[in-house]
This record gives sequence, structure tokens and C-alpha cells, in this order.
Amino acid sequence: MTAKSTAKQTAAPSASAFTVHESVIISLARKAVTGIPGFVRFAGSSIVSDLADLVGSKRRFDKSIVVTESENEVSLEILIVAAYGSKFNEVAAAIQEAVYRQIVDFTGMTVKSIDVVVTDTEDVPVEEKPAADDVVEGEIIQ
Amino acid sequence: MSNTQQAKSAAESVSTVPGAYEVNGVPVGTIRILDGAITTIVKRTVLGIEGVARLSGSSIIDDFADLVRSKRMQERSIQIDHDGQDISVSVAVNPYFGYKFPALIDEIKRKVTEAVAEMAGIQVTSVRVDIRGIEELPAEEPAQEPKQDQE
Repeated sequence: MTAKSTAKQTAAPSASAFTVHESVIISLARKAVTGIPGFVRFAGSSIVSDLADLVGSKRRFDKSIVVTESENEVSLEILIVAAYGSKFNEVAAAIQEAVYRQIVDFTGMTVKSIDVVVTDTEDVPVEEKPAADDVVEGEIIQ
Repeated sequence: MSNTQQAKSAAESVSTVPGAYEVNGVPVGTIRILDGAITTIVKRTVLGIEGVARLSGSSIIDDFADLVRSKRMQERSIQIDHDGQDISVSVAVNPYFGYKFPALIDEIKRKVTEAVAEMAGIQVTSVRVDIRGIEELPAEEPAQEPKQDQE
């Protein structure tokens, strides 16, 4: 179903003119969250995921960001580990704001809900093991 | 607030806290904090108090469990109970010999309550401290384990 962009429909594209794959939403959300002060990592992306990285698995974030889509409405649940010492609800609110804006801006979809679950808290890593190279993008300068 | 029945069944191991990002005055979603996060706050707070040797039940085995990031062990000595929005905390510690219990317990209670309120934004209604053992102050570094790859 490709979008028929006729001249008539410039103002409001019809609701079902496009679909956005779940993985795209996850990517957008992940990018929005990465770098937010107080965010350490996505929950579940620890040793097991490092291992998954090693074997090249891409399913790393599948469980820490859950997307539910229905009729151009999208709901997200994001599981995170917050920085020890930060205020969790402020971190979570910042994540909600960033993800909300990201998804609304880029997809034009309606965001029904963004739930943030703080599963644990730990110190922000201070550039320790560069074992998992592509996790480095999650580093935080506070 | 939600129904009381709901709070009992659903909020067993998770606390919902206010402060969610709002769009047009409507929160975009919930913010929930799992007990695991609170357990970590309690653990680190208690272990940071002078006079506390360790959490009871933690030994070499548990240090190993820490290494592999097992949550089991710390959950054995820290318990979180929910009462609506509030929680109560039980923690089992071994103090060092020479520290007076009442002062130590008071400090544990105060600091745990403060830390949980500060980070998680959750009210701790009671902190129960169990003293299960007592430890001698280590004269030097306890050489229980051969030096491992701790670079």
C-alpha cells in the first residue's frame, strides 16, 4: 500500500495511506532515548545482549521496547535502567517527551501512550570496556 | 487513585509514580518503577553506611552472584512490600563489631527513606532492619580469595 500523493490531499493524508513497521518505531524511539541524561541503557541489554552482539543478533532491543500499533495509533512501553542518583520520574518524563516528539515528527502517527518502566538503576559507565562497540553510542555525559 | 483491590493484585512488584510528560495536560503514559530498582537503591545506600559490613546472606557465593549480575542474592536480604502507593522495606544486615545498633539502625532507616524518595519518588512508610550477624572489623584486606583478574 503505497501512499498516493495526489495534489488534492496535501493538507491531510488519509489515515491508512501508509504503514510504519514496528521496527522503525523501535529505531526512532531508541535514537530519541539515547543520550538523555540519566538514561544508562535499555533493560535487558546487558550480558545476554552483549553476547547477542557478538553473534550479530539484532534482536537486542526487541524486549526493551514494545510497540503496539493499531489504526495509526501507536503505544510504546520502554524498559530502561536509570542512572543511580538521578530522579527516575524526571528521566522517564524526558524519555516520554523525546520519544513522543520523535514519533510524532517523523511518522505523523498518533501516539496513544508511552509507558516507561524503570527496571533497575546503576552507575553511568565511565568509558570502561569497549567490548561492545556499538553500545558506546549510549554513553552519557552528565 | 486506583481501586484498592487493583492496587493489591497488580502493584505487587511495581510502583507507578507521577510526573509523566504531558501533552495538552494529558500524561502521555505511565512511569513505573520495578522493585529491582528500589532494591538496588536500598542495597547501595545500606552498603554505603559506615558500620555496615554487608547484607546478611551475602558471602563469597553472593559476590560471585554479583559478578554474574544475579539479582537473587540481594533479593534474599532485601524485601519490598507494597501498600498502595507506599512501600515498606525490610533489610538484613551484618554490622561490624563496635557500632551501636540503635544509631546504626536509625541511620539505615533515615538514609534508605531519603534515597528511595529522592530517586524513585516513592514514600517509604517503614524500614525494618534485621541484624542477623556481626562481623569483626577486618585488620587488613581479607585474603579470602586468591587475586583474580581484577585489572
